[in-house]
Parts: sequence; C-alpha cells; structure tokens
Amino acid sequence: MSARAWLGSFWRCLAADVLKLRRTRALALPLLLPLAPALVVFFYMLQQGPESAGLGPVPTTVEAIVAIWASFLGPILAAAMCSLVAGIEHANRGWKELFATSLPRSVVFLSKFLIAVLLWMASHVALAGSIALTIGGLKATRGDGFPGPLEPGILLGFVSLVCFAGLLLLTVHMALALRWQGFTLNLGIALGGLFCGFALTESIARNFYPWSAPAAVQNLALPLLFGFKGRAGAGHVAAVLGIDGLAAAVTLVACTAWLSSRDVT
Amino acid sequence: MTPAIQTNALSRSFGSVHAVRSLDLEVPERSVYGFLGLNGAGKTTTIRLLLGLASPSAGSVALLGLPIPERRQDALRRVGSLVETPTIYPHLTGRENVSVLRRIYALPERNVEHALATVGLTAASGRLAREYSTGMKQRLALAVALAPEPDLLILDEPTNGLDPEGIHEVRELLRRLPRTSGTTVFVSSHILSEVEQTATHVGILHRGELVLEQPLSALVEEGGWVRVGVQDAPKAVAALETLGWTTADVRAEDFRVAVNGAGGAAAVNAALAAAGHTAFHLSLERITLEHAFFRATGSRGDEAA
Repeated sequence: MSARAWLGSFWRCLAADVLKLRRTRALALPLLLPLAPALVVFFYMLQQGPESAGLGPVPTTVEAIVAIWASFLGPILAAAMCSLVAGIEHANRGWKELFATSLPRSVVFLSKFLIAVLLWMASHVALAGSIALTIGGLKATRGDGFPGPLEPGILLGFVSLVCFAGLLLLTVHMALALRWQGFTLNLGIALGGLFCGFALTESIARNFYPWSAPAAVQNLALPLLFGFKGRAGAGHVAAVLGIDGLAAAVTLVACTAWLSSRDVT
Repeated sequence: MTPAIQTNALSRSFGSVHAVRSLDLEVPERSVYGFLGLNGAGKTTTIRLLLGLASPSAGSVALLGLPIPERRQDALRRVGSLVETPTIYPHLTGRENVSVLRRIYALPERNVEHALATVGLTAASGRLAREYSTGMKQRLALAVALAPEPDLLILDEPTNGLDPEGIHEVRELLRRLPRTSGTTVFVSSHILSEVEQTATHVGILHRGELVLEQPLSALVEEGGWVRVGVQDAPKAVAALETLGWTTADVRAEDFRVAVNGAGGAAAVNAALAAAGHTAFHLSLERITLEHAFFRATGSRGDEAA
C-alpha cells in the first residue's frame, strides 16, 4: 500500500472515529473534568490570602490548579478517557467489523491514538479556560481585586508543556485500553503508577516516569514561565520533553505493531 | 468464472483442537451459498479466516480472485460482512451508524439512503440505535454491510433475533441481491429451512470438515423417500430389507423406503410385486435439506429418517 493510500485511509478512519464520539462520555469527560481543580482552587482562594504562597496571587492560582491536574487528575483522566475511547469498540464488538473493512489495522489503532491525543489536548485547552475563568472570577469577587495580570500566552504555554509531558502516560494507557476492555485495569494501573511515583519525588527519574512526568514538568516550567528564575532552565525542560516525546513515539509504534499482529476475538 | 470465495486446504487449530480442517470451499459468483453446520462446527472460525480476522494454521483463501492476506485491502473493499452479533453503536442514530462506513469508504450519501431503504429503516433512521428492537438492529447491521454495494456479502447468522416478518424480509433480500446487483451472498446458518428457501448452493461443515458442497437443486433431486401403502407393512418391509432396501417409519399399513433418483418409486413397486405384495399407495417424498444435512453429518439418523 502506498503512503498516499495509507494516509487517505487514515484520514477516513479518523473521520469515522470522530463521528463515533458523538454523545459519548469520552467526549464530555475531558471537557468537564478540568473544571474540578479550578472550582476547588476558586473556593480556596476566595477564603485564603494569596500572599501566603509568596508567588503572587495569579501564579499561585495557576500553580495550584495545574499542580492538582498534573499530579493527580490528569493521569486519572488519561486512564478513564482512554478506556472510554477504546470502549466504544469493545462494548459494541466493533473491532471485528473494523478489521473486516479494507482499512489496514495500523490505521485503525493509530486513529484511536490520535483521537485520544486530540481529546487530551482539548482537556488542556479546557484547563486553560477554567484557569482563566477562575482568575476572572476571583478578580470580580475578592475584595482586594486579586492583583496581577494573567498573560494568555504564558498560561497556554504552561498548560501546553504539561499536556506534552503527559503524552507518554497517554500512550501507555491507550495501549492498555485498546488491548483490554473495561476501566478496572487502566484505573488500577493509573493509581498504582501515581502511588509509585511518590517514591521518585526526589529523583531525576520522575521527569521520565509516565505518571509523574506532567507534575515534574509543571514544577520545572512554572518558575521559568513566570520569570522567577529567568530562562536558564529552558534547556532542561526541552530535554525532558524531548525524551518523554521520544519514549511516547517508541511506545506508540511498538504497541501499534503488537496490537495489529493479534487475531481478533 | 472466478469463484467469489475459494479456499484451499484451509485449516485452523487452537492448541490441539482443530476448528477447521483442510477446507476446500468454492463459492460460485452470483450464488446464494448456504454454509451449514451445527453449533461449534467451525462456521464462525471459517468466516473469521475468510475475512482475515484470524490467521490460518495452513492453507489459503481467495476472495473475488484476490489472495488473502496479500491483497486483503483490495478484496475487502468489495466485501460487506456481518460477523456474529451485529456491531451497532447505540449512541448513534441509524443513519449515523451507516455513515460510519460511508466515512471509512468515502461513499456518496446516496449509498446511505439506499442501504437504509433496502432494509426498510428510512423512517427510523433518525432515532438512536439504542431505541431499536433486536430485529431493527439486525437490519441496521445489514444496511451497514450493504452500504458499500459489495460484490460479496458474508453473513453470519443474519436472521438471529428477527421476528417471522423480519426473517421473510431478509430472505427476500438475500434472494434478490444476486439478481439485482450481481452480489454473491455467503450466509452461515444452522436453520436449515431458512437456507433451503434462500440458497442456490450449500456447503455443510461438520467438526471443522466440509462434508458436502453442491448446488441445492442437485442435492434435493438426488434422492428421497417413497411412502408405500400395503396390506401388511411389516411383511413387506421384511421382504424389501432382505433385498437391501432401507426402510423407516413402519406402521401397520404403510412405511417409507429410501430411494435414489427419480425412478425410485417404480423400482420399489417392482420389488414389492416380485415379493408378492401389492402397493395401493406410492408417493415420492423428496429429500429435504434436513435429510441431506443429517445424512452428511451422520447425526440424528433416526430423526432424519
């Protein structure tokens, strides 16, 4: 099959997968879950003085929301969302019908991976939106006016780095979800992965461990983006993201090859 | 003419279990091929092998003259299928379910309309599939299989869950397809009467082996039973059995004799006359697919007789 034909099949399969997302929790969850840390932090900041954190009110708010997201809710979302996306086929025994079409199996699996990545990105756009809403809400409701600007570029850059750092995690969970039906395994591994990640808190390995990489990148990037340490650590962040991205790509190729070689049950 | 499906010594084992053994299928183009077998005979495994969903342990498959897996993509582009339970996305409408395949194959919208109309679901196409009855879901799955206007339709138990009216509609549809669109239909079933009314050719699978494959017309003309009315049936039966005839269903004044070919009734009459019995009634009961099935599989011989 030529590369052009393969690519044509891929886009057509992706279009079909987008259609299958209609009215699903796989679509709703990534858009709604980012509201949770924003609401928690909004009510917390409404009662607390931001000065106690020492960073200033806006960076403290951003850090708090992204920290909750990167260290816990993001990995849980990745596991749940991947199970929901793959569950569309598992629950309806759709694999056999898909593989009985002329689509190459690699196309079918890569399309699912891309759907998961697109939803993951959408969840981070929703996270950035919920942060902006939280800060806007605090500025409007707090007596001190919640001083300090929120630069959209910095916010989006910060959230994008955390999003990119989660791609390895997402790839692992999507591979598990494509192979095994149900939430149990995926959520169990996510919780186990997060728990084991605590042991790596002081280690450089936490930058590359799938379940702690988003939080590690969040810690590295926050002072850079908000100008607390200049730009000296930018190379470090880029190296971490490069290695995480490469690991995600290798995992993706290996999992696609493995899944494509299996008989359909 | 190239067969629509051709397998050569196709085999598949699961450990020490031989699900399909050395299968040599030949499905003629534009036929309705009934693929029969008891539950567990290997029908679904065979269909999975045909569609490339499972790899054979040995042997080869060609669909529409194209070898699988070498030209799998080219072949499957021209094949519609329904394997086991229908794949329906309950959160999508009927139309959206068919549109999934439309997007995969970049088909024109009219294919969706035509497929829905063919199975009689146009009016319900805007409803969510989760609201459909079992029969409607089965028909929707058929619409999905028909949407690409395939040259070959491979269906695994397509009338499962359908009510009598739905079964009738599917039967008529399957009969019509070879005539109207040149489609070859390969349909697996364990409902013999259903296949008998639909198929032009039959293949019977038993314990993974193809034990019979031929046109249905040849099969039913091959032989059957002659019901014989005589004064003393037990004595007449004894006389015929000493001459090598097979008898069954013996009652006081009538019984059945197995015959081969159209001249069977005359031969029975002659044999009875030679043995001193006068038949007052002779009627030919043609062999049914059920008789052929049980004869080929060697099971339920008593009931078949």
